[in-house]
Amino acid sequence: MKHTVSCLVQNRRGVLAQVSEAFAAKGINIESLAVAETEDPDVSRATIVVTGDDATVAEAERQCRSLEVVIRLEDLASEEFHARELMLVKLRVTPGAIPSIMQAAELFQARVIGMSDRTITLELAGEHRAIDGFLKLVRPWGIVSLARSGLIAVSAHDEEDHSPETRGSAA
Amino acid sequence: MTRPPVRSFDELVRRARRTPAPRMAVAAAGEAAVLVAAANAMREGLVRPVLIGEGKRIRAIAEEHAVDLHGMDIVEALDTAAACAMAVQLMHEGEAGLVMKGLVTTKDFVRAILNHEFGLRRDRPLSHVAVIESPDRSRLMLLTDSGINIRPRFNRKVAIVRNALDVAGALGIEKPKVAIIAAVETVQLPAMPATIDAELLRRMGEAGHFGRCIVDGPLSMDNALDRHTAEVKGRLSPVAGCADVLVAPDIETANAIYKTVRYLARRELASIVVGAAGPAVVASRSDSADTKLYSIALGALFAARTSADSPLGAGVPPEAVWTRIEKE
Repeated sequence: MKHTVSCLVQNRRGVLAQVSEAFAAKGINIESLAVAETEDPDVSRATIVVTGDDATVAEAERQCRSLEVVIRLEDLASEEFHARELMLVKLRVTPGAIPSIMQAAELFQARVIGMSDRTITLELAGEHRAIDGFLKLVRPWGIVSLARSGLIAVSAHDEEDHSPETRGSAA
Repeated sequence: MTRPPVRSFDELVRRARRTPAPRMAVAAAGEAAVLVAAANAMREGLVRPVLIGEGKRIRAIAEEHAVDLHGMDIVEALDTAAACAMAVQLMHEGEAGLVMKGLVTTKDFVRAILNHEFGLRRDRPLSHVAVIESPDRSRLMLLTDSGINIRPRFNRKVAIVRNALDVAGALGIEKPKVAIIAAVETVQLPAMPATIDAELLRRMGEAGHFGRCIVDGPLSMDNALDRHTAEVKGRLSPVAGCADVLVAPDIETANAIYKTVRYLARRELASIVVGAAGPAVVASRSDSADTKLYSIALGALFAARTSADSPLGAGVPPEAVWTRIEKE
C-alpha cells in the first residue's frame, strides 16, 4: 500500500540521511521525497511517499519518530490531506501536434514556460493523479525530459502547534 | 474566376447588393434605431428583414419615427427571450440567412444562438470579427475578437483565426495575411503569455493548418500596420506592414482598438459574430447608421457564402405567425 508520510524535522545537517536510513533499514524504497523549510526556519517538512506492507511501514515510522531530530511524523494515509506535486516536462513539438498539446495543457491547466524550435516546456502543479493523467496524454508526442518535485502534503485538519515556544513549554 | 477583394465599405454594400437578399431575423426589433437600420438595409436591397417582437409596439415606433416597414414581415414574440429564440429558430429552420440583435443584451442574444435545442451551434466557437479600413484607406482589414471571447486560450485562438479567415474569404481576400498581435516581436515568458500563443499559431500557419494564408506573430501593432516601422525595426515578413487580419490577444486589446478606430480616428466599421450556422449582426445602440448598414451588408455577404453550403433563406414561414406589412 502507498503511504504518504509528513514529517517535521529539525532543519540541520544530516537529518535527511537519518530519516532515509530508517526506511532503508526496513527495506522500503522511497518513491518520492520533498524537503523544505517551513514557516519556522528551524523546522523542515519532509513529505515522503513509500510503498510497502502496512506493518513494515509502521515499523519504519516508529523508528523515525524515535529519532531526536524528528519533531512529529504523521502517516497521511489515515486522514484527509492536501497534496500537490510540481512537474516540468519538455515535449517534442511539431506544428501538427500543437493544438493537441495545448488542449492537454488547457485541460490540466499546465503553463508553457519555455519554447525552442523543437521542444516546448510545460509546468504543471497538481495532484499526483492529475500529473500522471497529463503525462499519459502527452507521452505520444515524445517526452524529451521530465522533472517532478515529488509530492508535498499537509493535513487537511488543524495541526498541533510546533513553534519553538510550544516545543519549549511541552518539554 | 476569383473576384477581387472588397476594398471599401461602399464596395461592401455594392457587393452584398449583388447577392440574393437573405431574410434577416431581427430579435427584439421594437426600437427606433433597429427599425431604421433594418429599413435602410432593405432599401439598399441587402436583406429582407423579419421583425420579431411585440407587433403593436413595432408598428407604433415605426409610425412615430416615420420608418417605412413596407415589405417587412413581423413575427409576434411576447418578450426578448422569446424574440431571440424565434430569430434563432428561423435561421435554424432555414427561414432566415442571418440574425440581428435588437433591443436585447448581447449575452441573452448569444445564449439563444448557442441553445442546444434550436440554436445555431456548430463545432466551432463564436467570435466577433470587425472590418476596419487600412491606414491608407486602400483596402479593408479585419480585427478580432472585440466582442465575444474575453481571454481566449490557445485552442480558442485557433478557432478565432479560422472564423476570421472565413470572413476574409467572404470579402474576397484571396491569401489573407494574419498578424497575431502582441506587445513585442519575440516570445517573452512568463511575462507575456500571448507571445507564446502567437509563436505557436505562426508555426501552425507555416505548416498549412489554416489553409491558404500567411500567419505571423508575435507582431506589435506598429509592425503589423506600418511597413516603414517594420523595416526600421528589422522585423520584415510578408505580413509586416500589410496585415489583412489583426488577431488581438484578448478582448480588452481588441475592444480598445475597435473603439480607438471609431472614436479617435472617427472611422466607420462593420462587424458580425461568426462561428455559428450563420452570421449574426450584433450592432451596438451607439453605432452610427452607416456602421449598422455596413454590418448588415457584411452579414448578408457572409450569409451568401454560407448558403453555398446550406440553402438558408429559402422557404416561406407558416402564415399563422407571420404578418406581412403591405403598403397602403
